[in-house]
Amino acid sequence: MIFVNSALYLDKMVAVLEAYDQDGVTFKLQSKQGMRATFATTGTDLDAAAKAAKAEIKKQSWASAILFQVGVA
Amino acid sequence: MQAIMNLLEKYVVPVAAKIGSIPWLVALRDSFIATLPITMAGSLATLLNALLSTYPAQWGMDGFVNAVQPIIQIDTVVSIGSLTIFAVFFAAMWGYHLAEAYQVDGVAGTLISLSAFFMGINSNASLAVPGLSKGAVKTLTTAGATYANGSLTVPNAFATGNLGSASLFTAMIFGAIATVVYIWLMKKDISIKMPDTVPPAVSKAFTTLIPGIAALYVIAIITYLFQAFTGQAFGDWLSATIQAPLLHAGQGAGMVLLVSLLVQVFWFFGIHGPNVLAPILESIWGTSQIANIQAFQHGDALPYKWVRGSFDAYVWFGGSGGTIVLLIAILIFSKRADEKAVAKLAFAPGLFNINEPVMFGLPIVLNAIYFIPFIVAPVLNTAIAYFVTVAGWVGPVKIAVPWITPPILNALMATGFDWRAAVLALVNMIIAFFIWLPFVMASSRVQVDESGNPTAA
Repeated sequence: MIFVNSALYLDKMVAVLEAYDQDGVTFKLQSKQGMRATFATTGTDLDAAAKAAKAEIKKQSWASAILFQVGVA
Repeated sequence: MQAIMNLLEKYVVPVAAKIGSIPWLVALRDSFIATLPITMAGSLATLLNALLSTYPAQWGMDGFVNAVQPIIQIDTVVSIGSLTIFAVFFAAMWGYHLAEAYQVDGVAGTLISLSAFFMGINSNASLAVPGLSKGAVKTLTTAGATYANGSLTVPNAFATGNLGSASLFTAMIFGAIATVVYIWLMKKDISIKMPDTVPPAVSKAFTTLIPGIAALYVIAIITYLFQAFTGQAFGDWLSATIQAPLLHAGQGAGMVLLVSLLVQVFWFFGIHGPNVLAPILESIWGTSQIANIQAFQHGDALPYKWVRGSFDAYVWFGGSGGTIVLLIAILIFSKRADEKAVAKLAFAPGLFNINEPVMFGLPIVLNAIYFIPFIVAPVLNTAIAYFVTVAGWVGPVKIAVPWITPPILNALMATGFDWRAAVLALVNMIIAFFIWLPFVMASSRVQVDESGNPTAA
């Protein structure tokens, strides 16, 4: 499991990650509460999956303005 | 709170995101960031020379200074090749990132921006040499120099004074004009196409030929016309009429405090303040900082009191919001197991000014209890540090220090080992501690109330 913390645009981040499918790594939302969303991932290396998730969110045009955190749950 | 967040998501974040994604501003921010190895190498050399030469000489340790002369000379070489000509590196990075932002060849963008910069600055080097004999003047004049009012001017020579921080805005403006012409022509596809049999490197160079030449001729015409009508180099005029007033404005208390306040408010609502404000922070206070480092390196009076590193040294200890102090307050006074657990985990990263675990762990973001201290403590710390520095009780920041340098040590190093700076950082931390403390205790009580334990109420 990985988590994403963000006070803003969390729904958009969920949408970005649920649409992600690269190198056999996908993310599926497990829970969303307040500023925190957790995802199950098909990636076996959780650290790498969290890094990929962070990189994917950072690609979005709005991401540079947002304070967010991605980590292994 | 949800209503505020909805408003932010609808109106503020799109604007902040727009600002944060404007290619020009992103390129400007990335150009400053890309010069980090140069800034740090120059700062390290300046710092070492202060330790090996400036201070020992003041303490009468001439024997020591003589013994370490080779190291001092090596440091000087590093300084001259880095910070002294900082605007050259910036011009290169500016052209590269600007071109890349618009998906055209960055290497050509680098060269065009560099060339435009050199066209924009004064290409006559002047040196004050009062009282030259008539014979000397005649010899120098024969060699092509001119001598008037005690000043010797050598044509077609770039003075290092015009290659440093004083010419940063010239690099920005001329680099931007030239690169934009280049990008525009590339996008219009006005270029020479080579057959597929030509090697890619050659083909690429020919593709950028017409846009590159056109861009540089535009700059040449602008500088020629300006010089012809005003008798002054465009770069000199830009430095005096645009750069100097802007940097001067950045020295006002109002602007310094406003930026400090905005960064905190942005953070609290989950907006990456320093990212959004980076173009302003770097172009105004970053430029001032480089000017201070150069002045320190040459033994001149420091031109600016408040620079980019001042925020790191006196305000953002443990990360934005001065959160290392909050962690200490929680570890000592909080009765909440969850907050103590976060503080223990976040303390080590906090020592290196990384506070993501605190921002979301406690959390601070959108936490109404911590809103007031998170805003008030840094702004008050900024005000104290600003007025103490302006009053001259502590020397201004004159060395670039990596932002991960632990609190207090950061202030000490950034000011070239001014012990008063360390004291100021410590005093600010103590003040921030007492601002945070009542709110930590209030937060502690909230949790106890929720758990139904009346003993801590």
